[in-house]
Amino acid sequence: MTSDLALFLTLLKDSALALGGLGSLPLVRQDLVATGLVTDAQVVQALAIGRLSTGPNGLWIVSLGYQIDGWLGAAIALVACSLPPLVMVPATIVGRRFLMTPAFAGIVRGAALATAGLLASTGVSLIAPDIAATAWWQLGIGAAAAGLTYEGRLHPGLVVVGGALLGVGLAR
Amino acid sequence: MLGNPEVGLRREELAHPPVASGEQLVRPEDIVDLDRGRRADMRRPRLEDGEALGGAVRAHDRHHPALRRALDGAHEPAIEDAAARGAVHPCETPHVHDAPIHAWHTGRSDASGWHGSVCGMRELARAWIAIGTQSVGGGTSTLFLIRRLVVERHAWVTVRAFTEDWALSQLSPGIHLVALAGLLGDRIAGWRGVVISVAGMMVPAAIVTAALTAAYGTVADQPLARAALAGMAPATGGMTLALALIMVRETRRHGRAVIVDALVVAAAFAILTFTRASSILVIVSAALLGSAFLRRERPTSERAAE
Repeated sequence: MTSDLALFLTLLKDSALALGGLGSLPLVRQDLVATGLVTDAQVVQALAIGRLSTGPNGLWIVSLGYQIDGWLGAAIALVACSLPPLVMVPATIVGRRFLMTPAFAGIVRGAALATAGLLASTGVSLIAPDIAATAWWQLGIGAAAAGLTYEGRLHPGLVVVGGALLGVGLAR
Repeated sequence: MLGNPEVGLRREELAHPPVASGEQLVRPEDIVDLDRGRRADMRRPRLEDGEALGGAVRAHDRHHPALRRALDGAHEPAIEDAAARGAVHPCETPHVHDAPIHAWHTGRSDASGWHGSVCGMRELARAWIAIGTQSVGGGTSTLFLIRRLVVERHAWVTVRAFTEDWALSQLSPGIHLVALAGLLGDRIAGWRGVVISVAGMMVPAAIVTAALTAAYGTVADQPLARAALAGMAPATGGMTLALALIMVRETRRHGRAVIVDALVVAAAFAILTFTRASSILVIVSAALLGSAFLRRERPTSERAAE
């Protein structure tokens, strides 16, 4: 029970301090992978399933929660990632004018830029966790996926499936 | 009710809002110039690409075709005409004669005809469940479906109100689409609308996600699955990297200020890559730094005039 509560509080904190569905990735990775609760492979699996599944991208956390503690873990992750964004409902009622101030704009911009830097670092480490052990084709897949996603011309699910098929063809 | 002078928006403005495309979501006189402390009309702020939010948020990618389709609304559907012809079920036109105009200004729904309506709540739940189960890939596809159902099919909110909520949701922590669902739900049916909208979108999608995870778990140890993972890892890494670049593209300012923005990104990248410092510390520090140094570089009205 204590570990479930700890998992909930961790995911709640990571979601509350991140911008966007994937914004919590660096935080979750630091909290859960670094402590050995999950592996990087499980994070990748969760990210891929999050892209292939329905609903918002941020549901990759639910996949990760399932891998940690089954359906209970998934439920914990669902609640933890759903609560922080809802702060906007009362916030827009009581602090609508503050949300429109340049000072708040600066806060959001600062957090967004920092999140971008953290995400870039996380992305690079997922492509090549150990540069010496990374195959050329994996670097190629990473570069192609980045380009296709940036351009937005291909459905993200197809990018994941394409990477998986290339992996099946080249990794064996 | 629609002609309520307190609200200041007439019935014909709802039927034909001054929204033609994503390039011009509200009229020029609605521009809010926060940097100069002038508010032309706080009740109808300019919210295309987040201008009214002090420029904190731009559209994810205004040139992205999918997002443009999602945010651009050619016109409000002729709901009243359809209702008059009996072509639309009463459940699908709950607000046409009262609620959303006031809700648009207050940020909350006072839809008296909507609250407590089992028929309406059921319809609302059905719409959000459809969004949660039919949008694959998240992001723009989910946004597109939300807009199609909430604005076009059911006309629970106006295009303008949808765009405002979308811009506000970009300021939220965590998953922006959850914030959008909550804001729209609140606008449509108060706190019950929030619960129904968020749960309707998230719970079925979460079940699908967990089921997919369970299915993958049964084959995860197979050599074929491991080979697939070897390809999926760099693919997801590349997508994460691209997302970071997109965030920078959305957020960065212009002129010399872009150098400051780039330095913040580079510093965050370097800290996580080369040190063991806490990511949370990085984000909080950047947010505090941002409140002082990362505001807009010039007034929105001048930007708009470019």
